[in-house]
Amino acid sequence: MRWVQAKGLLSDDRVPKETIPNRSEQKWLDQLLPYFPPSLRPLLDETYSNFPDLFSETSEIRLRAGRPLALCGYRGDRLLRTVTDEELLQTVHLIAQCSLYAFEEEFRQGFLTLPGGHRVGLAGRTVLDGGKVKTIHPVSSLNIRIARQFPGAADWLLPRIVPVGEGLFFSTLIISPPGGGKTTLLRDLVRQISSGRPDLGLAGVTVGLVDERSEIAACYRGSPQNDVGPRTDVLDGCPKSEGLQRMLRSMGPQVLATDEIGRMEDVRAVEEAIHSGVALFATAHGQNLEDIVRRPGLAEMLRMNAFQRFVVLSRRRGPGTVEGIFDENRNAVEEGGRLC
Amino acid sequence: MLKLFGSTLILGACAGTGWMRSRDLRNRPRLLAGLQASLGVLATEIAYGATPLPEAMIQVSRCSSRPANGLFAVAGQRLREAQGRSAAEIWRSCLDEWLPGTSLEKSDGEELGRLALGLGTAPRDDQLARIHEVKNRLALQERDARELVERMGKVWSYGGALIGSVIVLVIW
Repeated sequence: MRWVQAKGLLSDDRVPKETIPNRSEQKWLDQLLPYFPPSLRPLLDETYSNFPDLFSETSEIRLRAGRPLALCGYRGDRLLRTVTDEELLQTVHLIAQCSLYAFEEEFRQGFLTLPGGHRVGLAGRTVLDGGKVKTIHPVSSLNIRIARQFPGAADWLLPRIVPVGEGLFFSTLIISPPGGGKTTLLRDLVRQISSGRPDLGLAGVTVGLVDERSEIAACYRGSPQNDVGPRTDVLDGCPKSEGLQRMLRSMGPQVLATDEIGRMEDVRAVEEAIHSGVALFATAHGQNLEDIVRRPGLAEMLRMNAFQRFVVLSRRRGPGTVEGIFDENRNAVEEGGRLC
Repeated sequence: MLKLFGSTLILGACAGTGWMRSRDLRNRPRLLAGLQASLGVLATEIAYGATPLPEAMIQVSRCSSRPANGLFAVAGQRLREAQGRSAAEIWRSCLDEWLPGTSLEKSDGEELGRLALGLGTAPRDDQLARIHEVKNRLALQERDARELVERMGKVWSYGGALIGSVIVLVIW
């Protein structure tokens, strides 16, 4: 499959039609097609019929008013025909079920989640109220991120974060640049900890998941769309600093998990968590440990010894490339090079 | 014999027309009151449940009496199958189909049509303000309709039969 930047479909790079994608790969398109306007559905249907490899390679579908519809994958973008203003508006209506008022908070935050866990990022003209974003109107760009779960992604990691002595798990920070697979790894880690791993002699434990941006559990109207395990309580859309404390106070978790920590207001919540005897799993943006040290909030967490393990991922050999596992003294526990 | 048959037919037609008109006059305020209650439910669904419009309309239809429930049920179903059409467009088309089968007048339909302005696209507060505005306007329509029933209800009930009798007498 060749990924090209092109206007319209190129007939010369079609792949044989007998390459049929498996049904789980096709499922996301079946889930997403009803959210596209009727005029775009045949185009997408035809494209994916002609290029079956796109099913597994597409990570995002981008719609921009007056610009080409883009199917984005880690190998590049495929540009289809221009999306009209009307088509973009229709897509917004379909995604919001003709009820923008019901998604005011999502519009304010700039994204919403669809059934199946697919996330729609919104951009356009922001409407401000007292200096803060009130909503986006009109919407001129949509980025539909296809939700994929990779059960088993954390198979290799779990044995490495179980301490030999006291304690249930090492508190672990997963570090990667955007698209490096940190959220996918955290999601599977949560699922496995919640379900238990009999092969490692680990029984399932209660996990409190604070999912501020709905990326881990991908809740749709409060229900997790992704498998995060049978003993996981999800606080969806709640700010991390408040969510971690709420979870501690109200749900009695043995493990806390959250995505993308690093702000100064997160420090106190993390401090409270680690002093409550709870293991914390979190992710942070960064290329390596040096990036983490340079961020004031994370540096403060390091000073507190909030984490005993650091897992650094990259996209060097594709998303989920493990660059190394480090201990609290930043010594390598395991060298990298493998894929999750 | 033929004359008698014709007279009966004229009398029956006139009395029937009068009775139906009188029934419509009496039904109109009841239906307007029912629609206000339905809009109240819709406002609650939007304000407290932040329920998306298709589900909110279906919920309203469940809480409404006939024939108002039909309007909301069809609107809810069509919103579910919207295919990118706006809620305003769907509401107007449902209203245009529903109105002729009811006792409501064109002016009542115009007031209900105001609900389409910004339906589903306006912020929640504006949406609620619009619903309350339409509700208030329907309340005024209801008051006028009740006055009309008092003035004209009996006129139409007996008027049809009287006019029929007069026609029969003139022909006879």
